[in-house]
This record gives sequence, C-alpha cells and structure tokens, in this order.
Amino acid sequence: MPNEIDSKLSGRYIYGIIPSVTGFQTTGIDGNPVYLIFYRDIAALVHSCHPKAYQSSNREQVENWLRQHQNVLDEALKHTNSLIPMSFDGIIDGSSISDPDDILKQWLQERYILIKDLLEQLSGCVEYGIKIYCSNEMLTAKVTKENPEIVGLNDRLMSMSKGTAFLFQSELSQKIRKAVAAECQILGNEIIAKIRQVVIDLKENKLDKEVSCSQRAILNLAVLANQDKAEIIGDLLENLQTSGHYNVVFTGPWPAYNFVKDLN
Amino acid sequence: MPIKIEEDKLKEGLLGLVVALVEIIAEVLKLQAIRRMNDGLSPESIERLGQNIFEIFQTIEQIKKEQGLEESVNIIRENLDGVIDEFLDTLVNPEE
Repeated sequence: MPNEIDSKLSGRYIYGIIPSVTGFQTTGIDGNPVYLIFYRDIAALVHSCHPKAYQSSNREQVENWLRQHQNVLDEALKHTNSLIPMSFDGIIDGSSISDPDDILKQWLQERYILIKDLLEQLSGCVEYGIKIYCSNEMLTAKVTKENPEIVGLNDRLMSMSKGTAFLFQSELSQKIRKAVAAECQILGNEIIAKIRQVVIDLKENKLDKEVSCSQRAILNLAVLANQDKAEIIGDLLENLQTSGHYNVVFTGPWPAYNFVKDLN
Repeated sequence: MPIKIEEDKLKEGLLGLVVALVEIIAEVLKLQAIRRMNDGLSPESIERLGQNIFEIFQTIEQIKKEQGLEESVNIIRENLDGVIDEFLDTLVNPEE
C-alpha cells in the first residue's frame, strides 16, 4: 500500500522534469507517491520528504533507492518522449515558505526557457552506455610487430650482456606501454568516428581502471540517440565484437543523464 | 584516500610500506639510468649501471619473498597509485 502524499513535509525530492502530462501515477523512493508540480506546460516529478539527504552505509539500501529513482523515470517515459533526468538525492528545501511546492514552481519559472529547449533537444532521444575493451595480448603483439623502434630494440636485445639487457628490456617495456596507449587512442578514435555517424551526441567518460590483466578499457562512452537507432548501434557494436579483437558492453536505454546541462 | 593497514598486521604493513617505497625509488633510479644510457654513456658504464640496478631489484624481490610481503607491497602500491591518480585528476580537472 503506497504512502499518502504529505504535502506538509517541507522537502521536495526531484526525479526529473517532463512536458506536462495527465494521469501520471507511480510510487518512488521508499514507496512515496510521486506527483507532478506544474509550471505552464512543464512539470517536475517529485515526492514530499523531509529536507534531508537519503544516506545510508548499507549498500543494498542505496542500490534499492537508486533503482526506485530509475523506476520513476522509466514510468515517466511511458507517458512522454522527453525527459530531463535529475541525479539521485536532489532535494529542494521549502521550509522557508508555507507551500513548499511554490519554491519548485519558482525554480521551474526561473529556468523555463532553458528547460523547454532541453526538453525539445531530448525529445525522442535516449542515452546508451558503450564500454569497449581490448585484449592486452593483441595490443602488445600488434605494437611489438609493427612499431619499428620496438622491433629494432627487440632484435638488439638478443646479443646484449646481462646488465645492458636489463636496462634495454626496461626501456622496451616502457616503449611498449606508450605504444599500446597510443594504439588504444587510434582504435578508440576509429570506433568513435563510426559511432558518431549514427548518434546525435557523444560523450567520452573516464575509462575504467585496469579491468583485468588480459583486458584493457579503450572507450567509455555515453551516446545520445533517437530511440529507433538502438538496432543500428547494436549492429555496429556486434560487428566490433565479432571481429574478435574487442569486448563490448552495451547498456540502456537510459534517461539522458550525460546530456543534461547544469540547471542551477 | 587513507592507506589501510590492518592493526594485527602492523609489522607486515610497515615493512611492506618501506619495501614499496624502496621499490619506487629503485624504479626512479632505473628511469634515470635509461635516460643516461640514451644520453651516450659508454657501453662499460651502461653494463655496470644495469648490473647494479638489476641487483637492487633482485634483492627487493628476495626480501619480499622471504618476508611474505608480495601481496602487502602490491596493495600499498595500488593505494599510492590511487592517491596520485586522484591528485593528478584534481590538478588537471580542478572543477570536477
């Protein structure tokens, strides 16, 4: 049984902003009923809460909250094709005025044009996550075979005495590391160029740290694409995966978190 | 980011930290040696330098093995890498 809306609570937890819709009903974090606060033709998805951050040292609890936050956005996307998602734990404190909803209306009013533009840009679009990994062995083999400087050092190493060979071997390892990093950059750029052709926007995020001894992360992308482009992107990535050189992780569709400008 | 050292393994942690630092210093020495080698050091000097640094690394490996420090040195170095990564990130992207 869902909780009831307690509008006397002075905090408003914001899930996202959508164009005005009717008949939206769902529950959010901890079963709180989610409702819409309207300003003109836009609306914020909120629930009433204490103006206090959702924090817990219990990982399972936090994951549950994140899932519930995501569920609200998924539900909203069934009613509209445009959504500005907010990050987890965005709470507005309305304790200074009698109706806390008003503070959110004012917040929407102040950013109305920005929000309308953003909703238009995101209309019909979703975000996908693309992570691409490459085999360390393949990369090392490639540069060891193709890089003339490395090939030369490798050949000279055979005839060296112990102390000299130790320093040369260390230098060789350094050069291989640098050449592998440069190769990853080239391969990554080639893949990005292909993906750019089928998406609206693309953002490069930080690479995962060493995933395993055998795999190296070469790309971590968030792409903004039309909803109907999922199959095309999927095919492109499948071709990379079946080439045998790459491991691809393709996730989504997600709300366009990576393509939302700072509204504050 | 704090470096975690379990209290009941203080000795191992402390010794591990010392060995990790010595290992880092040895690596810096090795880098310097490579630089000098490329600056035109004589073949005899390169061989002598290489031998000496090789022996330092052998000794470090031996100490790690004898004292069972391989894992703790690895953990300490990973933590130090993390600290340096964070520091460099802050320098490069101060706004994040």
